[in-house]
Amino acid sequence: MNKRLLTLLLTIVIVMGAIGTIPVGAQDDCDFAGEIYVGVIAPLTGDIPKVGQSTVEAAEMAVEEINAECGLEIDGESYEIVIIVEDNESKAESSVAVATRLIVEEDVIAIIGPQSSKQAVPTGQVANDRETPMISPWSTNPNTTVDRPWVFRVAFLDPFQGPVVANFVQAEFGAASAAVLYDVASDYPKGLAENFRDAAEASGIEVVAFESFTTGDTDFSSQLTTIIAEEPAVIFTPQYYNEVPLIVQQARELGFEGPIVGSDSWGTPDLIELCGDACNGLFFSTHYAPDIATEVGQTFINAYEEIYGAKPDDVAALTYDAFQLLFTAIEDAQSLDKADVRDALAGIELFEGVTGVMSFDEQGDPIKCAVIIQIKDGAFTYYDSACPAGFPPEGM
Amino acid sequence: MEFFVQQFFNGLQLGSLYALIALGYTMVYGVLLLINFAHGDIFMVGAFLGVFGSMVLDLPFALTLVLAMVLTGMMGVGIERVAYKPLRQASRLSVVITALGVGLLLENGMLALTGADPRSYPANFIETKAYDSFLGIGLGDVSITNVKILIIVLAALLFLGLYTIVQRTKWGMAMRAISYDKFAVPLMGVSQDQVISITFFLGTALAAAGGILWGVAFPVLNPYMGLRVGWKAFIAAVVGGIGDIRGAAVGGLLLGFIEIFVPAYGKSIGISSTWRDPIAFGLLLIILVVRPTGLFGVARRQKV
Amino acid sequence: MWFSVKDLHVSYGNIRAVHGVSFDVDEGEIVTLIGANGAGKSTILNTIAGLQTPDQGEIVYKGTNIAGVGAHNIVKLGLALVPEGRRIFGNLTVYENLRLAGFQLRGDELSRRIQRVYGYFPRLEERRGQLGDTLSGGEQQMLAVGRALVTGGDFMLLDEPSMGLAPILVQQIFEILAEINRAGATILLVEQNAHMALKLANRGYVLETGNIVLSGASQDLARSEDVRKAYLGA
Repeated sequence: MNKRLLTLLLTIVIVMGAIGTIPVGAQDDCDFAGEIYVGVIAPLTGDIPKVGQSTVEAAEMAVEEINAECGLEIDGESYEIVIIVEDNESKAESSVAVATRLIVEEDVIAIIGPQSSKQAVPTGQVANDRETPMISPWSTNPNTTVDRPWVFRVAFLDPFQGPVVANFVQAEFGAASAAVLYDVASDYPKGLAENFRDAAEASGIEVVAFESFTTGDTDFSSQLTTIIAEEPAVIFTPQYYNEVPLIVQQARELGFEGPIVGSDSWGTPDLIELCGDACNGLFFSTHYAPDIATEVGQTFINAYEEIYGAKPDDVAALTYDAFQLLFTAIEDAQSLDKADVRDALAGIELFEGVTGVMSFDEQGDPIKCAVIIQIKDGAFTYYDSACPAGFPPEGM
Repeated sequence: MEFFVQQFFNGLQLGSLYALIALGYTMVYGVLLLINFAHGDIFMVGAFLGVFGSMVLDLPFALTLVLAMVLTGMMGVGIERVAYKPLRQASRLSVVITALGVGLLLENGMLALTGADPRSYPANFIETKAYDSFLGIGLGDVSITNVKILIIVLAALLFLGLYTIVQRTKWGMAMRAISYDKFAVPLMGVSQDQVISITFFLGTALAAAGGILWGVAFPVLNPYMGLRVGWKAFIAAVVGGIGDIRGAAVGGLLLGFIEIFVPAYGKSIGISSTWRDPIAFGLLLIILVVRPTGLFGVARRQKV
Repeated sequence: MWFSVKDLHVSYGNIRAVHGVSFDVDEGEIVTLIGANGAGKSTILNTIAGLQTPDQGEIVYKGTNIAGVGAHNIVKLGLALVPEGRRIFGNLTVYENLRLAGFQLRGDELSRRIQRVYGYFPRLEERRGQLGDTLSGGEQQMLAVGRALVTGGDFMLLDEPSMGLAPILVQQIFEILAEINRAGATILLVEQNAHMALKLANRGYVLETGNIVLSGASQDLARSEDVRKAYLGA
């Protein structure tokens, strides 16, 4: 009986696995001259598995779409795109290890990922040293790309996001004081906390408390009690969806009634489920809002929703954009040489993606707009936009 | 003053949770001289059984707590029977490795079962309410919620219950007797296996209670949650004097207070909250240097 | 026979400690096993008490073979071992040690038996709240015998009760053992102090390297030239 059950289960698993890799669309009619391997590094397990899930979903979608159109054409030959997904367990060391493996053993043409700056910063070093193009969709810490000609990204940077949030709290709440609570052991929150502080102080907001904790902490009551004693008008916490609910709930329990504001790391829908009512009405800055999407964006959102039954979050949108950038670069380069692909990536001047129009600076960082999202009635809702001066250019 | 009172209750809550988990380490060590490195993961299983009880079976808090404690306790007994009992005569190293293996099994088993997404209890599990006054004293800006009181009181009651069992009942006497000399226990007509099973039951049931209370206080549960908490509670047990349940309680509270008060007051002497862990564990190390057997531990002569 | 050991073989790993020992004890007797260190005396007692599993042989008590039965079940049959080195629980009080020995007993019977122990050893009653570790050697031996009395042994096995005690204390304890025997308990006594043992016992067996080399009534053994030379220091 047990054996039969096991066999049945195994059969189901195998069949379902097969369905997952069955090529979609007109692929059968394509005459592929070869395959192009692209590495994907995502946190499938660990603290933020939802980020990993969105990454893989967007990656598979992007690849299936391009293969349905007979892949990429180079010198008149069609090449099929194949992704190799590696789990970095949301750890920097695992990320570095799998990046090395992808480059050395799998011979990938480029790497998409990792998502969090904590992993993207050290992994960028590996990609750069081994001369392999890497595009991090979600990392916003400047160090990911600084002085690394082989490393690119799709997200805007913390030195941009910090002032966006600081300006927002001043304009929206008239805040004269703010407190920051952040993870000192993680590159992204640490960098953004500092950028926010500098921007806030520059625009006349007094930062009355700048409190930290370390990755994995769940009790923030000591830091929050210190923060609340300083009576800030607003608390800024650039943390991930597994930490924000704890921070918000504990702040409320300890009697803080003011607004709590966050950054793009909040944008995973699981945050709403874990946080419940406590997060209702709160604001954060991020890369895109599904409800104001352009035509490009709307096409992506509809297709994604049809396949996966949920609206794509910012990670999915950025990952999808990263793939489009890579495809554009490979076609521009008309070469499977990594150096040519890198040059082509660096040569892209203006790109319209799901997350908006972007151009790139000499570091490989995008210049693009940010949006402010409000959590309202259990959904992420567009509230406002913030763009760099003179961007987007006329006519876009 | 309000600041201190608030931080005191913060520390009391965190310390009570550490203490509940530390008790399991210390009890198992007491009877088997085994450091049950799977204990943190057993704590995690307890917290997830809370999710099962509250979300799937739709049980209220009290019933969920009892259910999780009983099921986790039984699991603890099972783990001992299957994994540790065959190794009673084996080297200490084999047992430690087995314990680590059991921990990995629980973690990855839970990962396979529930996925990596974090879980929380339903909103109506415990509705958080803040009190205006406590024992007739106005609280001012101090915020004390029913969750804090629940955790502190329940942890204290569970500890007192355990202490009574260990000190006053014949099973408790048998547990203490085993920790002193397991050779002579069967000569009293007491089955060593039964005493060990009961010890595992109690220790793991308390871990389950700790897991559920942890989940109420910090409602983001994932299969790896037991790792850090487990290590910290283990350290608390060692600092208190492993093998002594009063030591586990005191060690847990001490760790909770240190973790809260170091960032709370460190700043005024120029230490940022970043230094919390180094200072917290540095202090605990100093205690161990001064008293290598922990606060309540006594050096024991080696039995042959 | 009330109790008999037949062709008992016991080993620890590769070391054979007891090879082919047979002896018997009748109800109401005091029988002693004497012999030098390492002769296998303690092994025999531990095996009877169920702490050690024999390789071969029978241990028949009241008509049942109890070889290989676990220690905590042997106790329920009425055999109580007072182990070598006393092995009292130093972290438990005197009362708790006795209470634990009465693990299987209910309230009235338990307090009756503990009272009986206090009757034999008033010192234990005086120190009932004291931790075992704080007792003197003699008091610990009294407690060890007391525990065996509480477990309710019809058949008491004693392993070197005189070890490490002053002669006057040994005298005292042996007197009480005689009293316990008169009250109905059968006693199997293992001793290095052959002189005292033979004075107390009805019969004796002499063990040498895992074998019985001599047996007989205590007076006869005490007079035997071999025994006198080897164990009585004469």
